[in-house]
Amino acid sequence: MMRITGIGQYVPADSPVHRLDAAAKIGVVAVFTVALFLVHGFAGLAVLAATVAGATAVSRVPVRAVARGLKAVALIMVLTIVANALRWQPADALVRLGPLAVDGTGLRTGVFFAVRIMLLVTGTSLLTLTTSPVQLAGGIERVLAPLKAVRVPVGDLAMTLTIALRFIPTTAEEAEGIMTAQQARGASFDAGGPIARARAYAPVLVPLFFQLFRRADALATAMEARCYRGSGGRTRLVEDRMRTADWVALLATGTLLVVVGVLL
Amino acid sequence: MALILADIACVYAAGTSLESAALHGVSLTLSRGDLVLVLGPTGAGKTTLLRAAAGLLSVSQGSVEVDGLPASGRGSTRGAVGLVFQRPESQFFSLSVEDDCAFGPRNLGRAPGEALQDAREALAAVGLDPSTFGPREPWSLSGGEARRAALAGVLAMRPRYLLLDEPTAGLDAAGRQSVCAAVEEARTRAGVLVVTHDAESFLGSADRVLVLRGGRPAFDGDVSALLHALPTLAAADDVDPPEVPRTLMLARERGLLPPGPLTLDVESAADLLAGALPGGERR
Amino acid sequence: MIRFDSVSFRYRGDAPLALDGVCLALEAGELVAVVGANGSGKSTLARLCDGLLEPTSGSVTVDGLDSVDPASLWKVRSMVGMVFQDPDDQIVGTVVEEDCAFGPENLGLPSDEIRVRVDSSLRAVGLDGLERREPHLLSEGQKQRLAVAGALAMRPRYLVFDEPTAMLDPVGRRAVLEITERLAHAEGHGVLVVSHDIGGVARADRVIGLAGGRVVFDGAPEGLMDDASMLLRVGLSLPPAARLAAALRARGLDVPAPAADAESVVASLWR
Repeated sequence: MMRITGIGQYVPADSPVHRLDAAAKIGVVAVFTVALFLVHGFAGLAVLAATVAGATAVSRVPVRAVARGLKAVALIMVLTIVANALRWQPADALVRLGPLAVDGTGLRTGVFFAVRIMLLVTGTSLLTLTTSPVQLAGGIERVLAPLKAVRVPVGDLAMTLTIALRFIPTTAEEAEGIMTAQQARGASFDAGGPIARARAYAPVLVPLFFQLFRRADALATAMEARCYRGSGGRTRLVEDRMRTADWVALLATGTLLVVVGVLL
Repeated sequence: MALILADIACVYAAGTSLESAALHGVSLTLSRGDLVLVLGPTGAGKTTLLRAAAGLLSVSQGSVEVDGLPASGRGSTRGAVGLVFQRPESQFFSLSVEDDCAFGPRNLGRAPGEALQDAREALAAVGLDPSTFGPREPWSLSGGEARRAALAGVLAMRPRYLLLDEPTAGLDAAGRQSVCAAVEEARTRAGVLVVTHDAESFLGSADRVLVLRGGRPAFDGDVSALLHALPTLAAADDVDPPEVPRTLMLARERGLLPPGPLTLDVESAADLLAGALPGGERR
Repeated sequence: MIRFDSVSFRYRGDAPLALDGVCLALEAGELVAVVGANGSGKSTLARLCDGLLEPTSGSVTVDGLDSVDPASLWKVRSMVGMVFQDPDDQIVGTVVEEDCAFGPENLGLPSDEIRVRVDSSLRAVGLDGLERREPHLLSEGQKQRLAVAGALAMRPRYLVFDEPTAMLDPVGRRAVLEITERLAHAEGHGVLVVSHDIGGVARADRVIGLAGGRVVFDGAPEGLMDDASMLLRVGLSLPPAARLAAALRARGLDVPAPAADAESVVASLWR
């Protein structure tokens, strides 16, 4: 069976961060991102980093899970530092490598940007690590609710998103099954050039799409049989609402981060 | 000349916290012309056994040999072991049945003409007339026809050993019967291993039965030995007993019949019951 | 009751009739099996029960409500729960309780009422304790029981199962068959099971056999079990238990004609 242990995948736990309303968390992350781009000194970054570190500690998400997201952007971070730090014969050189040299100001800028990327990734992945996909879809629905006024079908989009999330593991299993079956019939997926390889995937993709369309059709029938007629008039098992605690958390972090962003 | 699994073990996710033994200490010999059944509840390791036997999964202990050579799915054992997965009709991708069936032989490097010939021959073997069914769209076939067409797709590779995963699952009576007939035909060309819950359909013609429980062999022997062990295996939910021996078992539980052997045969079962009950006469 | 009044149906204008003049009735508390070979129209019949398909001619009514009248369509659908063959095709939620809540959510019920229904439905199918489990981590049998719970959460009066055991192993199959029987006989639902599973047929109060879109048999399962040609017509084979019963009769034992399974053979010997 294929296990999808992706970046930022939900880690169930019972922590204050998990309990926070998804819409509030989306708000906090949005404010955090704005603050991150307003900040112009290391002092500000340090406060933001401390906020992320504090939230991670409170969330009881294993540091490994957060680090997995960083691994994916490590290369970008290194390139950011190198591209900023290396100069052609600069005035203020820390280390010289022939005509190239590491420039002090450039190094500082590079590290600043790299840390900013790092905080952006950890901050946003903390949202998905502590919020189940369904709560997240519900949160997005409520954050985007004002768009309903201009006839954007927010509820239906959120339902589509939820169903897509539900079917990722099923489809992965199915793809793996079809691939193994075609391999057993002598198919190979790693021989030849890119075109030959793309062609080799037809025996996997054709049945997979066929299955997906068949499933989509059957699922639509099943949903109709369970009285689904669009998102209007639906209620929820768990009515997520912004409670006092969520408003307090949102306003407090919001104020803190904006102050930090503007002042530091 | 046989497919031999010698004391194999398979471990999933070795070296991680998710490590779990899917199979342990399993041995099996499949000769040409044999029908070997593998029974056992879901999660007993039946599908893992098939994958290991086909060389799609490496074993962490023991060995898998095809006619004296280690099975790897490559080199000289390539194409020697055919594997038909559960619900194989979900793997069709060509616009015609015969084209789909020719996919395997083509992958083995056979010329297109020869591959098509193999495909048509295999279709005939599973009871689908190649001139009628060959040009049809695979998705237009009924359940039993589609299942047999998928079986033909593997048979067309002319494997010496054929492994089938739940070949009758989800089919109606007619579909099951047609698949059983196709399996009998396949047996004239290859050693056949069937992994199934459907003891009812296959037990009568099996040469040997292996029952798995939690990845380990719970029973290994011929059909008469299996019938002997059936009450124990059924009580542990390892095997769903066929109706005739199940009737005898129930009759014994109620004290209608003295302890003794079980049978799959309707007439001998009727003799047993008639002999034990007042008013009954043996034939 | 669910009532079919000379219902005919074709999928397209030029297609042959999938159902042809079908009349039948399903009462509350009754367990009815619908059998038929591939293409006999039995899945079509299931989909007509709650207005997922519209009859080409004739009418389907549920407690007197027309199944396709826009004014009563959604009422009908909440009164008739459907369970399909492949559990993966009907599970919408990303965790068990959320899927079970899908129907009541669509009915616009308040959260606490949904909670009560979800808890009792999951308990009814033995999935309590797995509320937060993700569906893909369930066995096929558990998934199918979840589909049943999802239908039950709408508190329907009738339940229609379309080949509910075809994808299941023997353990899962037995569990689902037991549930269908309990829902009809202990809890008073009208239950219609479309199936070619002889074990399901044996438990039914009544069997409806379809061939070529027409009802060719409507009666107690016992009447079907000894009729080899009728069994064949409706896509079933003579059950081994029926053959054994015939062999016992030939040996002078008083085994009444019908025997669908080992239990009924032994029960008649026990008398």
